[in-house]
Amino acid sequence: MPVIAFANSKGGSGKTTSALLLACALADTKPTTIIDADPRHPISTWAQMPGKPDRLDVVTNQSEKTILDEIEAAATKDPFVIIDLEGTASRLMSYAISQADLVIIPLKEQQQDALAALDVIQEIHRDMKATRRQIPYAVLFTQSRAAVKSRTARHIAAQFKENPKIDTFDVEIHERDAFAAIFSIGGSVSQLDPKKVNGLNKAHENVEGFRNEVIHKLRALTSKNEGRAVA
Amino acid sequence: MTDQDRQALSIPDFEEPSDALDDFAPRPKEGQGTKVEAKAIDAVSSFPSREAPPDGQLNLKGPRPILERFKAMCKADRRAYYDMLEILMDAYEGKR
Repeated sequence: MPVIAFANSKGGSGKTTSALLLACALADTKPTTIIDADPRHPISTWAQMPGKPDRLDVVTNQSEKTILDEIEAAATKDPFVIIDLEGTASRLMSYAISQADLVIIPLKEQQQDALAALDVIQEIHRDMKATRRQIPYAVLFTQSRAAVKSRTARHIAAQFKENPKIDTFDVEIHERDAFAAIFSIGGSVSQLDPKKVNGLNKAHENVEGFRNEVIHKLRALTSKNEGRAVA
Repeated sequence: MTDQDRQALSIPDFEEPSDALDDFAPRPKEGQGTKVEAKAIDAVSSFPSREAPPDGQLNLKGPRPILERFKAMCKADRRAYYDMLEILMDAYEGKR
């Protein structure tokens, strides 16, 4: 059921990497479709390399006019649909957001990414009016340092984390060799060779933590919609 | 009596069940509806379309009699220039 869109109107915010990490992690357990709606088609290019998980389907978006049908087709086929969007404020992004059960807004802890994320949040609220339903969203900090953060990074992150109206992920996607390596080697993080990629255990933990928090958020949303207590 | 005198509980090493995510399933097929939603989004979105419009334009320069002949053909058959151009191309390629 869940359609999860990764949206930030600024390029280089970590959308594609975090979307692919989640898609591969979910595909370990359940059939998952990832829709590559970035015109550069980075995930479609990745899918041509060896190692794509068997349960992961990659759909290359054709155009703004086809995105709604592509999402509907994927959502009625697989339990999980991930949409990787272009880093541009576009109508295609608005259409994808309108179909999402959860919008994940990846951002680097930098002013430019943060401002673009706020633009996307405003657009999500406009989409909520149009669709007359809640569209849950959460900010995900990406490419962050696992150890010491800069003062700017702390300043940016704190403003999101301390805002009661904006949900944020506890997990952050750290800057790791493994996350870059999957785009040059192919496959998922769990398939990488620890002799060839540094810090693989930490990368694996990072992905698992991200996947688990997404699942927890989705279950909490389902419980909320059904009027049950959140587990 | 000390704690060592009391018999310890034999608590097994509980194996955590793996999460099969069986509570997630594909959406039921509802069909239709997406066009209405697209219109609704168009009405409120501040994000513009980034796609090139489907229509383009072609300027033709050539001998005036040929251009006039082409325009007269279109007018006689009450067809747009592009429409007649497609008919002529199809004829040239042997499709008609």
